[in-house]
Amino acid sequence: MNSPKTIAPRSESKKLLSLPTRQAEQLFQSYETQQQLDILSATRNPKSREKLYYLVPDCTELIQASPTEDVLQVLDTMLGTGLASVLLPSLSNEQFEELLDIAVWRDGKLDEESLDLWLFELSECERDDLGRFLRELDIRLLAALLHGRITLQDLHSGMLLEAGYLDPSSPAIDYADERARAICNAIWEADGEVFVILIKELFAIDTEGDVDAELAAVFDAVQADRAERVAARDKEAGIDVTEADLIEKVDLESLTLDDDEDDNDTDE
Amino acid sequence: MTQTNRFSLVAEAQLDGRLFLAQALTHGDTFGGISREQADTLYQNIAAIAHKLITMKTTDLSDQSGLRTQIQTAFTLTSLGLEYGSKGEFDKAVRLLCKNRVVKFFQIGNTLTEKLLDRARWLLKHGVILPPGTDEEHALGATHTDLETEGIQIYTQAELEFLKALLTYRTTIRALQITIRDADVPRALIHLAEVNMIDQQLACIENRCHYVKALPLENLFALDPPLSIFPNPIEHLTLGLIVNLVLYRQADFQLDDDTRQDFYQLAYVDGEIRQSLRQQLLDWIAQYLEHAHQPEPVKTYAVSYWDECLRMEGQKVPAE
Repeated sequence: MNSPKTIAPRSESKKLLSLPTRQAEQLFQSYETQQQLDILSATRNPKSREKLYYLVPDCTELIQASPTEDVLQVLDTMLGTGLASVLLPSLSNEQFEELLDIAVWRDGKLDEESLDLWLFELSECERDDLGRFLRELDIRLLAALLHGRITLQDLHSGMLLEAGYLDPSSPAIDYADERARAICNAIWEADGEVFVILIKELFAIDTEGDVDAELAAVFDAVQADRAERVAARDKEAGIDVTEADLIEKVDLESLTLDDDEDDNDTDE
Repeated sequence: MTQTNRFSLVAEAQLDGRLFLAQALTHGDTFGGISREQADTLYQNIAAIAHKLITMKTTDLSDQSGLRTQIQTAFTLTSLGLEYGSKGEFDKAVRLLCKNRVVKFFQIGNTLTEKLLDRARWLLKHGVILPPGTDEEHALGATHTDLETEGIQIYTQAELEFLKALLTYRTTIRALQITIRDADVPRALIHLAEVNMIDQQLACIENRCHYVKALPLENLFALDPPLSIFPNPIEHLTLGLIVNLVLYRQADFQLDDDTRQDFYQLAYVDGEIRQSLRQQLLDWIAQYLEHAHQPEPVKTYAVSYWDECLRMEGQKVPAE
């Protein structure tokens, strides 16, 4: 079998982006998958990279073989427009989980504004795709985020839910804003079971004596789970630096560094 | 499945050759202190720090300038930490790089600079004299723009740029100045000496804050024209005080063109302040601050600041 022709990914990328679409598609599709990935990897501008993904009829394989950060970079150019929903379905479940672990956390803490934006993008996805992603999402987190924006009127909500009579249009549910209603609708349409779990979680938070403490506990638990996943992924990738490492301060007055030739410094 | 490159966001980043870290790596390479494999591992570890910093801090990964800033921050802080830990000695730096986790140097650099950043944030928030009746709660929620419009800034425009640049680990100065007058476009911090210079420059602005706030400022907002219209209101305020002390023997700040001319005619010879008067004025402000229980650094700074204001006035009035 002939080995694939050697290419210079960076110049090939420039060439592809300068060609008319039809010619660019033909040329890009003539490459082996690994060569396509090399070209994508060498294309550091996310807008340009997005154009390259569209040069194949179905970019799922390329997306799933790309680093999640690179895909997130492309999606970030479209965030808030609803257009990210075009590429989102191409992500694998693992990539989606990793993507959220990066995109909606800032300095190790949940960035509620980003999460809200991502939920909006997700609600624009086809319902089958949304259902798949919802099963990857921590519903406790979703409930904690939507708490205060989706309110269950009273104890009858629980009974209605048990009897299967509760849906997003039920008068027993109040929405603080249209985006919360849209998200709730989308979840129900995508996966009725996830909708029931979400309402139960919301109900559980509401019926707690100390709602703030319950919410804090939910966030803490979700944060710990996320930290564990990130650490595991980093370990696999050979990254030994943690977020905690980057936040840690040192005592400059009593600094200890390993240095064989310096008697004054001691081992850590 | 292809091998995932975990550092794709840092793929194109290059260590600035001027950084102590880059020079230490070159030194290690030249004198055999670091093998090629060790150097590669070190570079990967530095890239990992940049990668983690990006994923932790950047809201929008498509923002190329945001990515560059985080990469630069990771490299800069690691370099500053190494320079601090090795006391600027390349041999020691090479040994330290081989024996310690690279992130340790990032932590040292981060600790060093975070103190400076905290002081810059404090000055941006408190380096302003607010009109009477502006309650503390309002001031805390105010933006820089609000403070610029409502209050009298103690820092100059060039100092505002300096403080803002510092928040992104950059500097605008090349030398310590009593008041920042010569400023560059913001550039990344390269050497520890710049951190030390920034430390002293911040102290100058802080001391000016303490000096100004120790003055009798009761009628400050009744001045006509208002101080806030001047490009350097504190220099104008100080000059107003000096002129009033010399001409009317009173601590006031009102200053108009005629009195300014009178003062110039009386106090300056060929653009130079008369030495005896200069000394009297510098002694006066030192004593005033002594009575106001201000610490020695504030007094020393205020004396230099008055001296600078007198010198500047000698250049300004003839030009005007």
